[in-house]
Amino acid sequence: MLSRLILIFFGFTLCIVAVQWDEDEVLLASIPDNWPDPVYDFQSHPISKKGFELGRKLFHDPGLSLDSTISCASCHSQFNAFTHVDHPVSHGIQDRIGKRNSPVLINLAWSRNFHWDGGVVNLQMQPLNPIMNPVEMDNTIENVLAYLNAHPEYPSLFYQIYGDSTITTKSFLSALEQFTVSLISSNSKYDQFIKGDVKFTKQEKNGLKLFRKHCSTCHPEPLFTTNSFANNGIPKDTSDLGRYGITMQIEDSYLFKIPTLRNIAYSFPYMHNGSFKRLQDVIEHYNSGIDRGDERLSPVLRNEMNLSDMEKKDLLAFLNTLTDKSFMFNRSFME
Amino acid sequence: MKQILYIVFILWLGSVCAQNQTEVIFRLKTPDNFTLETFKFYVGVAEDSTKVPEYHLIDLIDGDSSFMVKKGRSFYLLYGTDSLSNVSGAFEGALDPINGMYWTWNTGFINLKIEGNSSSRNKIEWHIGGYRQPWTTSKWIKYAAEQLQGKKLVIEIDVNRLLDQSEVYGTTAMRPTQEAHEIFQSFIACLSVK
Ligand code: HEC
Ligand code: HEC
Repeated sequence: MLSRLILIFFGFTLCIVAVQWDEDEVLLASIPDNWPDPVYDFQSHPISKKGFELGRKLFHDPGLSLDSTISCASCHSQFNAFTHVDHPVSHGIQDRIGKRNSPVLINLAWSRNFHWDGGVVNLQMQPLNPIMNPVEMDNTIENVLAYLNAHPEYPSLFYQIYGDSTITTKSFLSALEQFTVSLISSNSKYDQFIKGDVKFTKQEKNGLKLFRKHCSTCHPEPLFTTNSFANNGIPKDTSDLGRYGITMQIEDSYLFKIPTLRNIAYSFPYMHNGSFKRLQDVIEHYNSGIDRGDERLSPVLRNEMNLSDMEKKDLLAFLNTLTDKSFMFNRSFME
Repeated sequence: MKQILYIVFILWLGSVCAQNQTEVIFRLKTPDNFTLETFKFYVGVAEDSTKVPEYHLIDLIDGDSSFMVKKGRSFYLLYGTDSLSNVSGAFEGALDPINGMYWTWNTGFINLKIEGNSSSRNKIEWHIGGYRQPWTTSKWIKYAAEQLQGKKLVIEIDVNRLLDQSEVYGTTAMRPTQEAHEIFQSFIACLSVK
């Protein structure tokens, strides 16, 4: 009898837990069936609504920087696909200039390498870099935790999620990750076209064809990045050796992470050093700006593309189909 | 009454456990003409070298330099950190990045940190880490049951010998490289059980 009661009791609590999870679940953008498995394990580390909201609050909080002026969102603004426009390289507190362009934060759950040189390999640990970087937020973990623990709201918010009102490096970082991992963009015109919901114009169709011919090796669908490193022939800048700084292998010098091209129309300026302002300039670079004989250049780009003016326009039209308005203007990402 | 019994029992249990433990103590052989400001390293304890060990941060200048292990049983120490922990999310305890033993620009732990000044030698700043093959900076060492009969196991670090390596490797090391790998090996060679 007793054992039966216990069973019933357990069954009952299980039901309650299950129901709670449902209520708590955040509506992630749907992940199309043809996408590869994410690196982030959504099954064993599900995103809860509360965790997402807490991460979002942290992401927009300038209190994480030394002089309380700069938040993550200052350099990664939603309306620019979570990058910083108008600045070729990032601006930190007191307008200190960084050495690289802030990348977009899109579909990070599929990424194994972070930063232009892939120096960071774990998304959860990534925020320690901007927080402690002297030209970004110039703060310490001690300060951040002291700020959060003394805050009127954070301790109870953390308590609701982690069952502990003392905020630690671990709980702070995992809350922030709940937000960054949820920045999923999968509803561009391109995605709707692939699903068969909309039609491409003739121009866009031809652009896709050209893209598959010239660009797909490095920017393959559906994520538009291989997550690896390459040299795409942009003018050499000897102050930044890229991947070499991490691996110290000569053959890795001047290689940079291949970025995703999703929402690319919004994430100007382009490249790790922000050297191109307009998408037209990027296309022109690939078409005619590359020194095909440079020994660092990826072999994939050795051959001339010889795009006509028409074809350049087609390619541009295709790149514009990668804009996902439901991502760019998703109200749930906003503060 | 019952509570008092409990307390007595717990105290007794504690004392029994303490008797069954050996304290592993790290000690620096005093360096000549050298003022160390920092001497920290990670060490993990495990029953065998296939396990993820339990980590301690040894701080020989102003922190903990010892921990307890089971008496009379062999065990393994991992000097440095295992590669999986280097690429995982945040940890609490010894591996918490708040301890300043973590590189944020090139994911991974600083397994050994030595900083100091001398009149004869230059300022030394060695932050030694790296988990990628072949320039790893960690090493498993087995300690046999016979070494663990007493209350204490003292492991001494011959700092002079280690610092002499600055003539070969230079006084600054800040990234995972071949030099870092070799400095770490010298560190291992400078450990001896007293
Ligand atoms: C001062 C501007 C600045 C601030 C503030 C900033 N970032 Fe960044 N972020 C950058 C730059 C620049 C990079 C690229 C770094 C590199 O490649 O070396 C970057 C890279 C990243 C990446 C890696 C993206 C990828 O795909 O490689 C993530 C994730 C990220 N930042 C999240 C954050 C979070 C979370 C915060 C707040 C804790 C933050 N950033 C604050 C400028 C900034
Ligand atoms: C050999 C691999 C390779 C090929 C082929 C390639 N790219 Fe790239 N692409 C890269 C790399 C690497 C970067 C980043 C370079 C840097 O910042 O130094 C990049 C950056 C870009 C960017 C800037 C992204 C940003 O967020 O700043 C755009 C846009 C782009 N590529 C479009 C294209 C188009 C269009 C094609 C085809 C015409 C193409 N790429 C072909 C490797 C490649």
